[in-house]
Amino acid sequence: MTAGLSQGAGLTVDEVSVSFGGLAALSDVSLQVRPGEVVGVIGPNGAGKTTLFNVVCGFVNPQSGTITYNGQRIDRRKPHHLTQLGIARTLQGVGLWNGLSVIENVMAGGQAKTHTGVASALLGLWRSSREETHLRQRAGELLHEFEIEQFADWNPKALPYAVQKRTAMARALMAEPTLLLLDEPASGLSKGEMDELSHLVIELRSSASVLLVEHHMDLVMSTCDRLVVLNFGQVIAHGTPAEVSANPEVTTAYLGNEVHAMGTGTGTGASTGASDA
Amino acid sequence: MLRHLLLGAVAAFGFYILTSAISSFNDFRVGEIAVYAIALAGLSLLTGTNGQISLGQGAFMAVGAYTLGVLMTHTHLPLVVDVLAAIGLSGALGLVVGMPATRLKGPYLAGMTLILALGLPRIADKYSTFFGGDQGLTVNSPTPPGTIDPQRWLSWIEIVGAIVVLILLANLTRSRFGRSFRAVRDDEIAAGLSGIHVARTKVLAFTVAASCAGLAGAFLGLSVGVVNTGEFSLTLSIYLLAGMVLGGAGSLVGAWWGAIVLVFMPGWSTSIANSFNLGSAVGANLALVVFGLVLIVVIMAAPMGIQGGIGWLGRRALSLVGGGVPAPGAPTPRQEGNEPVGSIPSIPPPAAPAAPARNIREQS
Repeated sequence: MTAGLSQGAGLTVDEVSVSFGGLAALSDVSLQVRPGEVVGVIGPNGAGKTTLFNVVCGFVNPQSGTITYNGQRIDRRKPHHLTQLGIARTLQGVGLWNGLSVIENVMAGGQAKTHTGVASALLGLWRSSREETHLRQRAGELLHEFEIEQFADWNPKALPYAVQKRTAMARALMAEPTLLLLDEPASGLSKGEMDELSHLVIELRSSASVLLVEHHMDLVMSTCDRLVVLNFGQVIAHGTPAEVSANPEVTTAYLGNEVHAMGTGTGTGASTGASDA
Repeated sequence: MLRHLLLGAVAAFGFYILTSAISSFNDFRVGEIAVYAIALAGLSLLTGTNGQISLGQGAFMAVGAYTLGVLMTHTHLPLVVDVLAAIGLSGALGLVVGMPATRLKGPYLAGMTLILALGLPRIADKYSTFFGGDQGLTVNSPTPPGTIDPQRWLSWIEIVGAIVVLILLANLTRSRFGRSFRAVRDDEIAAGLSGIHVARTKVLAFTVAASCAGLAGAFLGLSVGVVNTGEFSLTLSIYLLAGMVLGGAGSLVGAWWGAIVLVFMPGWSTSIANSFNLGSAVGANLALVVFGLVLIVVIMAAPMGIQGGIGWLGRRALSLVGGGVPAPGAPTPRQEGNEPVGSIPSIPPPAAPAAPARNIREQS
């Protein structure tokens, strides 16, 4: 987890620092997501969680430090390169395209797998339509897996939030990622929907590693192999969920000094304390 | 794709019957409709489907027209080559202009393309010996085979051109590129994360729109018989943008409606002026006023333009037949075809129309 990590398989964030003007959003942050692992990033509002995601995705360039994925430098790459590297990300909120139907949203997630050129698309050549058929079929399978195939032709704007969330997840999976970045996947979901989500994340492990930012401690505790706790742009703790929740520094970061005595009760306490993202 | 080819063949046959039945002057007007439909379809793709507002479509038409004019004046290439060169050159210019345009949005992009619409025709004024000055360049219309009326022959060429362009654009918007156009319009960040190259997608839309304008400009030159800067004023670009919105932003069928309005509006407003005994100064400018009024009414009544309104009426009728009117604000399933769901950025999105009957049945 610290400096000098091996640049092997999986995602490695090494000593990354980002500042906006004089404000240090991330300072010397290091973390690693190994294949098949689910790593959660937690921390109070403004701790730098989303900035960390934005650096990994190439929306923000780090001032120092490196990010590698499977041994390949990915900092300073453009966001649209990510899916080709096998990295997909869901957005805080849903970030669906309201001008596209649910199935088209999901189909567009398979962009990295398409090869049709403009000319054959213009002429409507067989190759283009075969690729479309293939995409549509694959998207249909994902909608089926997410139990939202009845909404395939609907405008996402008109659908319940939970369906939109699933659509966004299906779109990310359409790229067949080996690393999935989930930015607050549970926000706005009910308890039951959150349970489904945690099942899904655990299932995903067989095909992809997951890095997730989340405020809901229940979800984080039940799905993550390891946690990284950020506060004021610095990693203040890391380890298994049990280790982290027993860490007094974490409790302090979330709840202030007074509540040290709460100990392992941090989980639920923190989730109410920080869920208003 | 086959469906588009069939539709195109049916349309071509319809136009053949129509042009054979009407007078030569009306043939000219039908040809004009086809010309404007080409320009509007390109603009509709750029602005309606891809979300880039352009006031430069008229300028790209000028590039197409002048390319044809210059080639006809200075060389003796076959007409097909001239027309292809017009498409190619305006497309290339669209590519060049599209690149900086990727960094601009909404009114800023409109401002940049406005400069294009104002500035490009000035080049022809500046180098008047090469571009023919005020008189412009003379363009010979193609000689028809046999005894076909030349005007009718030209109209046929224009109609076939328009149908081919619309088939190609329909194929494109139904492909992954069409999806990318709309994805980039709706949310660039999500588009990038899904592996869509946002800048390249925008430049592609710009290039396609400019190529369409180039063809339309070349055809317009052939129709009028002369190419001069007066034809490609800023008013033309504004007319095109308004006509595109009127027909239905993002809709290829809507391009035809917009073109019909653009061709017939000046005549209608002149006859209105005459019937009220208004002066010729008023009559000449009344078209703009009427156009503005029609635009306001259409945007209020049917934000997705004429084609959107027709689609809404159709779904409404279907749902009445299919058993009762669904609750207002019912979810809006996408329809097959090219009807847009979104709208260009400056226009408020349409109120959710009634759900069509087929989905009501499926849902219950």
